[in-house]
Parts: sequence; C-alpha cells; structure tokens
Amino acid sequence: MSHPFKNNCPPPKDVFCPSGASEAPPGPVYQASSHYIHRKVADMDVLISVGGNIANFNGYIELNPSASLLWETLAQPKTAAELAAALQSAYGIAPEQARADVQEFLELLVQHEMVVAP
Amino acid sequence: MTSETPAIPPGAQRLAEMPRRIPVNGTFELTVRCNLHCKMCLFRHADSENARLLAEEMTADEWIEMARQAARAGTVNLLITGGEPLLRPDFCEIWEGVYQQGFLITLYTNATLVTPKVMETLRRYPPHKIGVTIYGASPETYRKVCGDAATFARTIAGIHQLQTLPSVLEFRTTIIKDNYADADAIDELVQREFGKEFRVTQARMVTKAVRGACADVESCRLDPEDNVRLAFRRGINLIKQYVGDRYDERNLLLEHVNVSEDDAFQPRLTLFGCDAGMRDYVISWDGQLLGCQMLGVFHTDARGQGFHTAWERFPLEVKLPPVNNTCLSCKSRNICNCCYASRYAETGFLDGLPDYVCKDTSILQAMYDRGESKHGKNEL
Repeated sequence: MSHPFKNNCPPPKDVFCPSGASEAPPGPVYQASSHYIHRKVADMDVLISVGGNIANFNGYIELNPSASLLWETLAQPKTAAELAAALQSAYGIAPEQARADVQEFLELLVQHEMVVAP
Repeated sequence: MTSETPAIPPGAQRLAEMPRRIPVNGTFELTVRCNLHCKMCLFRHADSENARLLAEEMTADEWIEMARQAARAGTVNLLITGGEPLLRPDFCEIWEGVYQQGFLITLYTNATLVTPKVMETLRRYPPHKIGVTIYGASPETYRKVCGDAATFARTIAGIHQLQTLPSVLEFRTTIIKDNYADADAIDELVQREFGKEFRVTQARMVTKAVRGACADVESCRLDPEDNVRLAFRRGINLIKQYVGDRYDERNLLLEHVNVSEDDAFQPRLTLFGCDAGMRDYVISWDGQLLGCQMLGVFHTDARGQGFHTAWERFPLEVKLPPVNNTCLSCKSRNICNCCYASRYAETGFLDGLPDYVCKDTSILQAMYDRGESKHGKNEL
C-alpha cells in the first residue's frame, strides 16, 4: 500500500461512553461495500466491481495479501483498531505500523467509496 | 517397467506434463435456439429441433451451480451467449444467479427481446459489456438476412434500451451476399442512431455452421474475392476516419511485417495452438465443456461430472492429427486464418484443407506479392 497519506477520514460517530469508563471511544465503524465481490483467481485476490457501481468503475482491482486480509475482515463492521489488530496478528508487525497501514488503506477505500458506514 | 513399478493411471502422465491451465475465460452457451433465422449463423439449430433442445437444455439451477463451480475454479471473464440467450424464459433467473458469483460479465444478444422484465434485471445487475449484433440498415435487409423485417425496428429499439445501462456497448455484424450492399450503411446507422464513438466489428470470415447447426452458409457467404475486398475497404475507411485529409491513396502502402526473432513470442505448449482449453472454455447448452464454441468434437461432461473434473480431464479427450503437409509448407501460413476449428468446420476433418480459407488467403497473398513486384517495395 503505497498511496500518500490523506487526512480525509470521515469524522468519528458519536459513541456513548458509560460514566467512569476509562477506554477511549472505539472510533468510526467501516464495512466493505457490496458493490464489489471478492474473488480468488489462481494466485490472485481481486475485487470485481458489480451492479450500478460499474458506472463509476467498470473493471477489477487486484489486492495484495494484506489488503485481501483487511477486506475479508471488513465483511463485518470493524473499527480501525480492530483492523490493525488483525494485521498485527497475521504479520507480527508493530502496533504503530499496523495503525499507519490501516489508516492509509481506509483513506483509499473511503476516497473511492469502497466502504460504507453500516 | 518392472513388476514392482506402480501402474500409471491412463492419462496421468499426460496431464502432469501439461503446463498450468486456469479456466480464466468462460463462455456459457445458454441455448442454440434463436428467434431470428440468420442465414449465416454458425450455431443456431433448426426450429424443428426445439422440443428436443428444450428438454435437454441445462436448467437455471444447473447454470447457477455451474457458475459457482467455475468461479471457484478461477473464471474471471464470463460471456453469456447463445443462440439468443434472452429467448430463455428463465433468462433473468439465470442472469441474477450467475451474476452474483462475481465475474466480469459480457452479454451477447441480438437485442430483439429486450423486455421490461429483462431491463429491470439488467439494471440491477448490469453487464460489464454488451455485444449486440446488427445485420442490416433497413427492414428489407433484415428480412433477407434474418427472415423477418419487423425485427429491424425491434433491434434498434432494444439497443436504445440497452444503451441506458452503464455497460460498455459494442456492435458486431456479419456481411453476406444479402447485406453486402448495406455494409457501409450499417456503420452509418450505428453512428447516427447510437453515437459517433461506436464502430462495428465485422466477422473477417464466415465458416460453415458447426455442431449440428442448420445454416447453409455456403450459399450466402461472400465469394473470397468480395470477402477480401470488403475487409480491405473497411480497413481503409477506418484509416480515413483517423487521418482525415492527410489520407493519400496513391501512396498507400500494404506491408506485412514479420515478427523479428527478438520480438517473437516465447513458444508455449497448447492444445490447439490458441487459448482454447488452456485459459478459455465453453459450457454448451447441454452441459458439455468445449475448448471453443466452434469445435465440439472434443468435450467432457461438465453437467454430469462437475466443472472441475471436466476441466481437468479435457486435455485427455483432445486427439489431433498432424497438420497436413500442404498447410505446413504453404508460403501464406503466416497470414492464414485457419485453425483446427475452421478446418473441421469447412471439411469435416481436423487436418483437412479448407478450400474457402485457402482462396481467401491466396487473394490476400497476391495483393502483397503485387505490391512487391510492381515497385520494388510494398505499394498498392
């Protein structure tokens, strides 16, 4: 994932914090858009643009392994923290690296309307 | 082989020596029935066979399951074709179920059966590409070619409907004696009616009908001289559109460029000399897996055995004779369009000499030769 950082993530949703809770708000929740179907083709993972979305993008996107993992994780609603945890668990990378990679990945998905707020 | 050597299952060694084959490009031939009766159709069966065809066609559930298995095996590009696929009353059900497996999907249709129900389905599940055929520029030409003058208006109306979809739209035609006079008019009609950005792709050569189809192609296809002349003229028209006033026919060059050794493709092992059966396949209307829609003599039973087994075992069914010596030694072999499928279609033999193709090619070769001898370089 080599795209430059763009500070255009959606604002956090209002999250209820019980009084006395010491945890930080979980942050925005994301889910993979149904406008793409994830396919495994030979040794590749691809996203096929389908439905009305082909008016915006008529083709497919190739995913590298970490992007494929994140996309599969986004089949269910997930926060950025949960996605970073999935990357850490799979690749053993430092938390800071995982958070930065997820941030970059989500910015790309948001920019291209590939994730939805469930 | 000693008595201790385990027997090798038949075909296993042959399969083990095959390069990796992935069924990336699929074609689902939903039916070989059609509501048009085009004189030159390669695939349409006679209406008298309809009862048998209807009884033996794959069901909607079978097509959807086949799509699921094909996706699992690695198919990305899928063509839905016929005959005329919209002729199936369960087309919408098939389309929705196949679409949801996730392919880059193309629909081939004659556009005469685009009903509101079909449009509703295609709006929800639009093809990535639609290929429409157009065989004339008037009702009279449609009567001569397709057997029904009224289908001309239905074709135009249907294409207008399909054009509202976000799909890429492509136009295709086949020119025979009956619509030869309309060859340019078809291009003009498409651009006038649907947009100047569209071009009409014309079949370069019409071979005899295949796999039990009923068309008497020999009686209606162009003579080889007209076939080459038309292909050449269409090519010139395309050049004129691109270069405009700079076009100068007196200095037109016809040049055949031989691929240099450095640029030559790396040799690769295939079944037929193309991607058929290596990356490409067809599931026929009755569930057989073929390498190519033109060649039905080699097939495996995808309907009975499942897609995966049918795909894996397909190479074992392919038994080809050596290419005949005439083709091997022909000086025009580098510009010839023949293949095993066209040889079989034209002669009934995989190693036959396709006379029609030979004549077409020899005319093209003569054009190259005239250019070289006349001016010492390749000029027309």
